[in-house]
Amino acid sequence: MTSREVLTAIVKDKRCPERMGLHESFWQDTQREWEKQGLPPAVNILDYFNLDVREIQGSLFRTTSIPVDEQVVDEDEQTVIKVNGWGAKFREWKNRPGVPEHLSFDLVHEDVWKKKYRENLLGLDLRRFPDLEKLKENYRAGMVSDRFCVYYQLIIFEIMRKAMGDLILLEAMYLSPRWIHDFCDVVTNNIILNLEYMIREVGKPDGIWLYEDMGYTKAPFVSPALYQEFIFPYHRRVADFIHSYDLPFIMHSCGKIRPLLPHIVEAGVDGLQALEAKAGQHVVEMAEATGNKIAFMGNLDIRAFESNDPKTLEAEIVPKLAAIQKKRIPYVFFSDHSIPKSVNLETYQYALELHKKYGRY
Amino acid sequence: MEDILKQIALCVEKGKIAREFPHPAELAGQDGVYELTQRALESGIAPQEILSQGLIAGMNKVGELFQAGDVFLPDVLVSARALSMGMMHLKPYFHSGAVKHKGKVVIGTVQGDLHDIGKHVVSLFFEGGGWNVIDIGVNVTAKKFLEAVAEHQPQAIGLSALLTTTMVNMELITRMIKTTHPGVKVVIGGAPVTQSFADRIGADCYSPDPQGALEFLNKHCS
Repeated sequence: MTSREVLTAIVKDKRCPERMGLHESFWQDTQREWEKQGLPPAVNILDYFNLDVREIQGSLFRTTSIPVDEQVVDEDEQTVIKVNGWGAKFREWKNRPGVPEHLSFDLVHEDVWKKKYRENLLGLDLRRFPDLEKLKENYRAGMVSDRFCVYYQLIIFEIMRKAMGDLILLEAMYLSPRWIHDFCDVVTNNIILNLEYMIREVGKPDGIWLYEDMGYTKAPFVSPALYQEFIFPYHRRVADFIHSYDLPFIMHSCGKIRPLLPHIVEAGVDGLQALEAKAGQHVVEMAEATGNKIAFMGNLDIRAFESNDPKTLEAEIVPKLAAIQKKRIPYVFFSDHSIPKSVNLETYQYALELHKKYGRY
Repeated sequence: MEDILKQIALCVEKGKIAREFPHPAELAGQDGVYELTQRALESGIAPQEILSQGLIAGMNKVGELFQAGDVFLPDVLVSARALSMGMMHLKPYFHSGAVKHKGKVVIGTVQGDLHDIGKHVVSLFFEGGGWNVIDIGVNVTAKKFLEAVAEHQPQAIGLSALLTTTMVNMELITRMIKTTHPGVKVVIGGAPVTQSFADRIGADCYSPDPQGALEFLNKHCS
């Protein structure tokens, strides 16, 4: 079976084909580090490791109200300060990954939303697509391959975090519920408008992969009740749209989202990715709780990879794959985090061997 | 007197900021922390009692519920907002010395890490627990921690890290603090941090949640 067939079976049809899917993401400095350890220079790392999924580059359209890329407004030796199309300022590292520091937000009140940001999102604006011709080229190249090709994009909770920051957002759910609903309604419609345009003008991919970060190690950012009130209706709307094209909806979320799982399934998510293990989540328990109505991707504890110890890695991977196989859980082999440079190339290659050996149904 | 203090505590717990705020629905139209604190002061209740039996008691309840997973970050933030309304009325009494903090804590995210949300939430709990929090920001070097300790003379420092690659910087800071200011307690936390890591680097307290860290401060530093 090709990558496309395997992933379609797992994520769209929730079946268990001949093998478990295989995919991974890597921090930007990992490849550079691995080149020192013997990885050929400048290879396409996904092709090199024969991973199943391809994100169609250029499909990340601009979701900010003002459709511009982030602008650097200040910098020092190590960090840059950027402002985004919501007027929010963040400090980021220059040459390494990490969570940015929230410096300031313009969108602090419903009045600002209405005066400065809402209207820009009411119609289709082609400035949201930085390079449509390149996107079409990438789409064609992806679809002639046998990989499972996805459009990828941020979705509602993550967009709100970038627009107003965690503190304002989480408080506003209680103190300005009308604003949050209006924001979610307008932004969701805009996401759908742009996805629809992309499908019409560029083409239909194999799936749509949307990024949310709805949890941290201890808990979801919001209670199941707040999820149900503020996020669920918009996830559901996006899911209905994606399903209207007979495509699967894959959602990424870091952190502990187990308490939200029943609602996420009900919203219509087909594949859930990351499943952070150190947040106390286990793919088998989650699959049992959902009756295989959803495919899972991830949950391989990054700390086992970072140990660079084959025995520790085996102890993490082998029993998990055995249980997944036994319970016939639609599953894609994936760490619960992007692979950092502290994981040796040899360690990752050994993980791939374990997938090859134990990752069959 | 007890009634109004209990009401203040309840309003902090439920996030009832002031009368004009409709949240929470079950207290809509009623006075919130803002009005109740003002009324308590006007009726002659000692500011220290309002702080400890009203505001801190309410926030402590939120901490317990948060620790148990019964409330979530939005609840904590709204409770902290309500508490700050009460603190606004008590500010002159802090200046005059009629109300005292339990002590000082210097808090920061360690070098290499720009993450500030976790630290912010922990600060809210420490402040809500009656501590004077000196937040020295993110990407804080060991040298800057030492300077802050020398300047502010805290009872404890709080170190936060989000990444496995940055939590190692807690070790250097802890070692330097223990060498130069052995009486200052070191409290650490963050997603990758564990008790065994805390034990290895010689930190005095690791807590997976803010309430545990606050309880440590209350027990060992005040």
